[in-house]
Amino acid sequence: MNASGILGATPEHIAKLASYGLAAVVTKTFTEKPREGYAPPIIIKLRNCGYINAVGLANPGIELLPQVVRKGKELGLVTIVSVGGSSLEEFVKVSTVALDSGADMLELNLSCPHTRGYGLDIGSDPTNVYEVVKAVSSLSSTPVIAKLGVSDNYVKSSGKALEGGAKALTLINTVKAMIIDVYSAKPILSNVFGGMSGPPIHPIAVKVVYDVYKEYEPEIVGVGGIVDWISAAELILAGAEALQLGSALSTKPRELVDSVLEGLKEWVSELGYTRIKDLVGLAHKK
Amino acid sequence: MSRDWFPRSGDETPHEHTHLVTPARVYFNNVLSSRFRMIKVKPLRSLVTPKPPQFFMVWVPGVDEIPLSVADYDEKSISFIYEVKGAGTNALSKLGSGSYLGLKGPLGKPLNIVEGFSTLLVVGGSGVAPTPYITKYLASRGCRFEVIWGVKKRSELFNLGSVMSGVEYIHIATEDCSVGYCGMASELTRELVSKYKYDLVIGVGPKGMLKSLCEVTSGLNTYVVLETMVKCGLGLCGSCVLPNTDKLLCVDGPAFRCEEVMQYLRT
Repeated sequence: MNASGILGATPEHIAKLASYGLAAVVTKTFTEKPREGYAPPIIIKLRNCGYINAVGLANPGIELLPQVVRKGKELGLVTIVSVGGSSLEEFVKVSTVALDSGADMLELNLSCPHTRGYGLDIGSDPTNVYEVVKAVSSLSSTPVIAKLGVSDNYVKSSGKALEGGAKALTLINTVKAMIIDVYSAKPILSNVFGGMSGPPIHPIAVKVVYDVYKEYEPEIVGVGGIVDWISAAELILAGAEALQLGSALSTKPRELVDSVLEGLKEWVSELGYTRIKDLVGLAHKK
Repeated sequence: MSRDWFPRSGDETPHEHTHLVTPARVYFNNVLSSRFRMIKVKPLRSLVTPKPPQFFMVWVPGVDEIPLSVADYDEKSISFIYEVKGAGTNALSKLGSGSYLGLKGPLGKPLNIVEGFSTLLVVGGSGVAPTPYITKYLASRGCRFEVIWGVKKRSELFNLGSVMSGVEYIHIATEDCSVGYCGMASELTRELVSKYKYDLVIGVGPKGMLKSLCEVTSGLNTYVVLETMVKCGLGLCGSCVLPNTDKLLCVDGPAFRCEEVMQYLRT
C-alpha cells in the first residue's frame, strides 16, 4: 500500500494510486475542516538521497471523505483512512465519518512531525496515544491502526496503542529534519523544518520495527525508505507484515511496485519458503 | 540474488537528480512587455538537459516555489519568461543580478517530437513562456513550423524573435484588432488548418483557448500544454490533479493529447 500523504485526498488521487498496482490505499490524513497546507516548497529531494517534506496536512476535510472512500471501494481496493486531529474529539469525529463511509480500516496519524498541535505533538506522549486509540477503537469493530513515529517513547507508545485496542501499528512516520540552502542562507522548506523520508530513514525504521516486534509481536505495517525488494525484505524480517511505499513513488511508481513484489517472491522461494508470512520477524529467531 | 542489490537511488550522482534544489545565480531579470518578464540564471551545478515542455520549480528563497516552463537553456544558463501574478512572481521580479535562487527539475514529460514534423504552434497569453525553447527544439529536430501568437492587446507583445531562433513566420492575432489578425488565436488556427497540412499542432495557453484549439483541430495530432497549481512537482502531493481525470499535470504532463483532457478542458 502507499504511505499516507502520498496523494489520497481526492477520488482522482485514489484512481491514480490504483494504477500503481497497490493492494490497498491509504488516504491522505483527513482532518475535520479543510486544510490548505503550507506554501511551496513542500517536498524536495536531499543530497543524501532522502526526501524532506512539510505539506502541512493539506486535505479537503471530512465533507469530501465519503467520495474518496467510495472511489477506493469501487476500484476493489482495501481502503484505509488516515485520521488526523488536534484533539480527542476531532479524532473521533473524523473516524466516525470514515466508518460511516465504509472504510476498511482506520490509521490514526499520531506522528506527523511538522504540524503544530497534530501528530507527533500528540503521539509522543504514550498516555495521549492510549486515549485516542481507545476512543476510536470503541466506535466499531473496524480495525484501527496506530501510526507512530520516532520519539524517545516509541516502544512504550506502541504498547499503549495496543492496550488501547489498536489491531496493528504503522511504523514509522518521517523523522524531523531540516535543509538550508548555502547560497541564499535560507531554510528551503516554507515551514522551515519538515519530515525526512526515503533511504536515510530505512535503518531507523528497521530498528523501530525490530524493537516493537520484539516487545509485543504485534501486526506491523512497515514503512520508511523502501526503494526495492531488499529494503522491503529487511522490514519483513524485522517484524513487518504489510508494507507502505512513500517517497519512492515519485519515480516510476508502477515499475517500483512490480519490482518489489517480484523481488520478494523470488526471495521467499530462494530461502525455501512458500509464504511471506513465515518470514515475518524471522530476524528475531535465535 | 544480485539483481537490484544497490538501492535505486544509491547509484545516482546526487547533483544529477531532478528532484534536488540546484542553486543558481541571476544573470539578468528584465521587462519584456507590459505583461512579461524574462530571467536568465546560471545554475551552480549542472542540470539535466530539459526537453520541452518540461518545467522547473523555481525557488525564490524565503518566499515561494513557482512552476515555470523553460524559455531557453544551454550548458551555462537557463531562462524563464514569467508574468507577475502573485507574491512569488513579484518576489522573483525583484531578484537582481547576482541574487541566488533554486531550481528543481526538469519536471514533467517531454513531448515526443518526430524529426521533420510540420508543426503549428499556437500560443496564447502566458503560453508564450515555453515558446522559444519549443521552437528551438523543433528547429533542432528539423521540423518546419509556424507560430500563431494571440494576445488581448498590442502592449503584451514583444519581439519574440529576440528570444527565439529559427522561426520562419509568426502570425500575430490580437483580440482588440490592433495588430495582425483580428480575433482569437484559435480562430486563426481554424483558418490555417483548413488550408494547410500539419503533422503536429501544439497549443500553449489558457484553458479556454486550449479547449477551442482542441475543437478546431479535431481529428489532427494535437497536444495541449496545460497550466495549473503545482505544489511539489513530483507526483506526491496531488495538488495538480486534473479534475475528472486520473492525470497529474506534474508527472503525466504538462503536455496532453486533446482526448486525454477534453473532459477537464470542458469544466
